[in-house]
Amino acid sequence: MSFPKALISALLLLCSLLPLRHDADGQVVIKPTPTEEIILALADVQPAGADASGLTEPIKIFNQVLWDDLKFSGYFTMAGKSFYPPKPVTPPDIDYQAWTGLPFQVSYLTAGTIEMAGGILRAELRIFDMKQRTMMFGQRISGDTDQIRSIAHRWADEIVYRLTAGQSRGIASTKLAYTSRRGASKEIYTMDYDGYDQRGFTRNGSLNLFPGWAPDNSKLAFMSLRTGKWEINIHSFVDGSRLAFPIFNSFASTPAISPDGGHLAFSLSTPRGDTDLFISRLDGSQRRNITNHPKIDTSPTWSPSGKQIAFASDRETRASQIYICDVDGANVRRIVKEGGDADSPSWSPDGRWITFQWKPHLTTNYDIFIAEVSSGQIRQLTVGSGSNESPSWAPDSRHIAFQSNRTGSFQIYIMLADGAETRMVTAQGVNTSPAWSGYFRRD
Amino acid sequence: MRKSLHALAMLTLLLAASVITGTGCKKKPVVTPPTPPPAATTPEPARPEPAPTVTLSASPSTIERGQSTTLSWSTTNASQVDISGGIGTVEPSGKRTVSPSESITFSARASGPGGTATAESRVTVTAPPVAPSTPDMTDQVFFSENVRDVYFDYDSYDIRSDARTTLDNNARALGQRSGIRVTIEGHCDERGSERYNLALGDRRANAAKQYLAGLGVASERMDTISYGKEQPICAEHTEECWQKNRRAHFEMRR
Repeated sequence: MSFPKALISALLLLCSLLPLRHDADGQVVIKPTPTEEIILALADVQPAGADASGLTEPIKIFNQVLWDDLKFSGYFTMAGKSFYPPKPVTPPDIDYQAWTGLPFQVSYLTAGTIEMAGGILRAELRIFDMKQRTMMFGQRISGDTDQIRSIAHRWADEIVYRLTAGQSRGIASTKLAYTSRRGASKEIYTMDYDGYDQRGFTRNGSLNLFPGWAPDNSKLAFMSLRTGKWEINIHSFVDGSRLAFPIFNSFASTPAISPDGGHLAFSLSTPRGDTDLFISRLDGSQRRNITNHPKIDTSPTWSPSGKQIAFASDRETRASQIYICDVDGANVRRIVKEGGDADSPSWSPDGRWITFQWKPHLTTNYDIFIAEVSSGQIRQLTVGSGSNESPSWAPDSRHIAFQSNRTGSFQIYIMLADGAETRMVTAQGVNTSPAWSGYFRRD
Repeated sequence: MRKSLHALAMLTLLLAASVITGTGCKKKPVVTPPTPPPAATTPEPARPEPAPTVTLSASPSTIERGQSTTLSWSTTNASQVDISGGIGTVEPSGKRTVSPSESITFSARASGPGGTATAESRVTVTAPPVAPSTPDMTDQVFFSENVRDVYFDYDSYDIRSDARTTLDNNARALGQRSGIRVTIEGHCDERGSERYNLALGDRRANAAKQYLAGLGVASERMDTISYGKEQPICAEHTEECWQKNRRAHFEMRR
């Protein structure tokens, strides 16, 4: 091989390894293209009240959490704090003039105070329109000292909701359910979307896999081996109680609660030996066969309309591929035609995308991809960093959680759906199968 | 080469199975009867030297494991007498107390100038009576010696020809011990997705179960469970290791 030829093929290889999102066509955009870039500044909140002694740590946490939440939202250009005027901002006093000498024009500024009153933290928070030079809105949020992160998350969500004119409610208060290996067992855990406040949900010492939320976060469905047979379990997330769901005398797996919260799609092996998809009500009644094929159909995910199902099947190839069908089983079509090995589809809540794990032919690791349902266009989101699997959409259809073993053991990661802002949110043990909750109620 | 080795292994297994059954069970009729000692033969028509003779007996001829029996022998016209079974060269006539742990046929060989003669005596060793509190101990031993795992190709739940041989043997073994109930575990290698592998493991376990059911093993005796890729027995990232993990594993149910 001559040198130029070798160079060209090396370049081709390099190109093929680059994420598809870097392709020239700008058709598929995760971030909405705002008419105007929003440059957001976060003045550190200041202590207030008579007794500020216990406030140093909560305030430090609040400022960091708020920054992380708003940066991860992907909506804003975050103005670096080193450029800010030295004088602390203590609303309602604000020196607009001091903020004009920066190398950029800040669009909005958030600032506020936190005081301790009777053991309760009271945050008084405001956001200012720096062009109009007015206060845009303010909010008081209270909580115990151990709720300081939640207070920051609530304020972050409020800012996202206001500044995007309701386009997103903000995901800072959402949660992830996931499985965590503890010795020989795998238990279901939940945590804040950023990895804090990890809590065991199951404690049966057995294998518990593939959690999924009801869209209103009232329930968690998952598989459990706690009785020695695989069963689908549906638990109330509110009080942990288990709903009655039938135990089949055959293998039932990969439950997914419907967008209306009333139905369950799952995989079940039939007396004939098929592994087919079924849909039933949450109590198991009105069970009906959706797919009907001798091979394996598994991993259903609902379209937000509740009218279609995406799933994985090895019906045409040795390994599994991603398909879509109607909820009555009609119109089966394959969405990734290039072969390889694909599974774990997750349909975005806005209906536009399906994310899935895919190991294209002749590659050795899974990566996270998204396919646009209408066009079939595929974008690669993770590249060259271990095996990346089991993606799950956030309720804003802009973020994805997944598992990766890029550091050696599987951990949970979150990222923007264009692959940016990737963050590892678990570090201890082995953690897999993240499932992003829906929005929690605003009140 | 691999196939013939496998066939050899199978043959050894079948032999082991029949011996254990023959001596460990109370159902005696199927036991191979003790080989009658062949008549002392002296095929050599040697005139000048008289042919040796030998007799060998064991009393008692049936013992429980751990007990002993007395071997007695006598010879004529022999210059050397050897007895098999680890006893070696002995005096022309004598007695020896032995305590074999397995059934054994002792063979005495008398040789002299007039030729050789042999005599055999079989000692049957039975298992001690099973304590009622551990009725499944021997089933467990029988199971672990006779029921084997079967292996699959990548992303496949088809029963391969080597798996067929293994399952044929498993079915025979389970046929001999109708009290044994099994759990068939389906396992996968690490390469596929967790969700797909869990379904694949179920198909593998059920493929093995259906095959055994086709050979007459009652379905009620067989449970299946998939572990997907949750419980590999080999952790390296090589095909050799992956093959070990792509299996239907048999566990005796308690």
